[in-house]
Amino acid sequence: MPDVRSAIHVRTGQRASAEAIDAWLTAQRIEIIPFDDVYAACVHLLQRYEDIPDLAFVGTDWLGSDELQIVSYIRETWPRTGVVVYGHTADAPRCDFLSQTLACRGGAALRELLAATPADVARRLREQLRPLVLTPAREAAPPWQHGERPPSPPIVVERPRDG
Amino acid sequence: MRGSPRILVIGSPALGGAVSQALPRCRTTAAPSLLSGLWTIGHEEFEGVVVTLAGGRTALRALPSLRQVAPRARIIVACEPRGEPLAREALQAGADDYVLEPVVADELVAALALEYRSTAPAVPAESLPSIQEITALSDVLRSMGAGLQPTLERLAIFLRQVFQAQGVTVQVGEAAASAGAPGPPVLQEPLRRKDDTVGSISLGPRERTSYLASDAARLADYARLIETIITQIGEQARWQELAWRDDLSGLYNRRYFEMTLDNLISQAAMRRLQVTVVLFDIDDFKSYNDEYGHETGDALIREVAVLLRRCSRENDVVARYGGDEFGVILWDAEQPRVPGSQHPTDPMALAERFGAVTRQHSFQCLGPGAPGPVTISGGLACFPWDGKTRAEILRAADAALLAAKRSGKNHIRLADQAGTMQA
Repeated sequence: MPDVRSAIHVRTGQRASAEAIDAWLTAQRIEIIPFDDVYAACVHLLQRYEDIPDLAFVGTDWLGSDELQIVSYIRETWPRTGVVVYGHTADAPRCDFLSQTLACRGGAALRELLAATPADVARRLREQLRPLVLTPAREAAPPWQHGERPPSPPIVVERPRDG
Repeated sequence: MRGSPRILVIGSPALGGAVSQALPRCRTTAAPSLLSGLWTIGHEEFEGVVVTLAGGRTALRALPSLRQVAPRARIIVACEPRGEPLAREALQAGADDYVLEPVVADELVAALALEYRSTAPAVPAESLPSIQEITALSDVLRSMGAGLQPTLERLAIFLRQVFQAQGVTVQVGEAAASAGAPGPPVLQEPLRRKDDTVGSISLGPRERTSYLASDAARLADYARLIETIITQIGEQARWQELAWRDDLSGLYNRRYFEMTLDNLISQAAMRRLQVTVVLFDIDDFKSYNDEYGHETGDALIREVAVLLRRCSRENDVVARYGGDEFGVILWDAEQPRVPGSQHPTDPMALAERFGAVTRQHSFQCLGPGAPGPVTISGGLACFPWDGKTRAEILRAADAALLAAKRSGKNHIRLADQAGTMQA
């Protein structure tokens, strides 16, 4: 089971959701590096890229469409970090990183996420990453041509909007 | 700077093109958004950054981050003249300077502190002080559109520079602005309009020398000019108010409603507030016009407008949106009311209150023989959940209003992304 020690949290979702995620991580004694907006988060990506978190959370309720780009930047900086995108109307990030990201739409989906442990979430996301990681013996061809399964489809937990 | 200076332009392609054209000796790179610009400047070195303020206050939030990532770059903001108050806030948030659009080469060069100068002819040295004063005063005049207080602030700064005073205070009515450390006034001049004194200019001690008689005369000249400026601002405000009012109902008009909604959405996104829009219309209004005549129909609209104003809170924006349609913007500008107050704060409860008050009201214009209560139907939509732009939210509220009309009228419906469902 992967050990989850730290997580970044871009707290740009609804306050109740952000607080629920913080409480969930804190209960597991996971260090949270919080950011109130995508710009502060971006500065961290640029200046503290060596501090690799195990998970990244991005709330999308208060983000403009151009600000969703932060998910791509997180992926680009830390390719092996699982990213959870949550919100009332959480959009899936762009196709490039779809298989490495978990999108939670709505309160019920978020509750389902929080019913698991951060370690479980990290494990599920890393299992998606595995087919995309090339080993020296397989650099010539995509991994799934060597008998492995193709990458899992993206996990999109979608629930009807809460009343 | 060695080689061609590198300038990053964060904003529209039009701004990027304008900067590129104005600074042909610079290498210009464009970024379409604040976040992409921040990412770019984190990976490449730029001598200067031009950031548009067209997106509103979001740029102010990004400025400290830009400064963190590029501490040595010269960061300036670009805005239209009416955005100048925001540009001044940007200076507080970390920008080095600002320019007004359309951008001009000399201003860009000066603001970016580029080492080369344009080929415009140099100003003769002996005339520089008066030209500087005129230029500075022009800047003040350009801020008139921002209103009285920002103009007074700029005037105070301008007068302090002109008279080299330690402090200056400019006061007009209940508004006042100071620059520097005013202290007890040493030189004072009233602002007069005809025979009335409407304000004053007070200068504190001068930095090194005493004031001369010529300074007093110069201050009197500036006082007359400033009074003219203040009068113009008052006239502008009156015309502006007229342009925003609906003649029939006295409420704000549709233009003001939509402009205010744009501004509130921008602020709400920055401060994470909820903004609610309710669109109402009078049920079966056409039948009142047909039965009682258009004059009575107009009177009905006026009475409903009075009721809406009475039910709304101080910060709510109430407008006549169209024929018999009204719009209300509810936003959480302040803490809940006085403890124990019975005034509702929930948007749905406020909207339902409008309906209840209208139903219970005895409309004078219809007389005692009115066929029944006057009712209104409404649609309610919230930012950011029902839309992130003015158009989206209004569309959602309008769809909810239509659903309310089609399902029996006389009630309020909430918008929903999947369709409309009654609250």
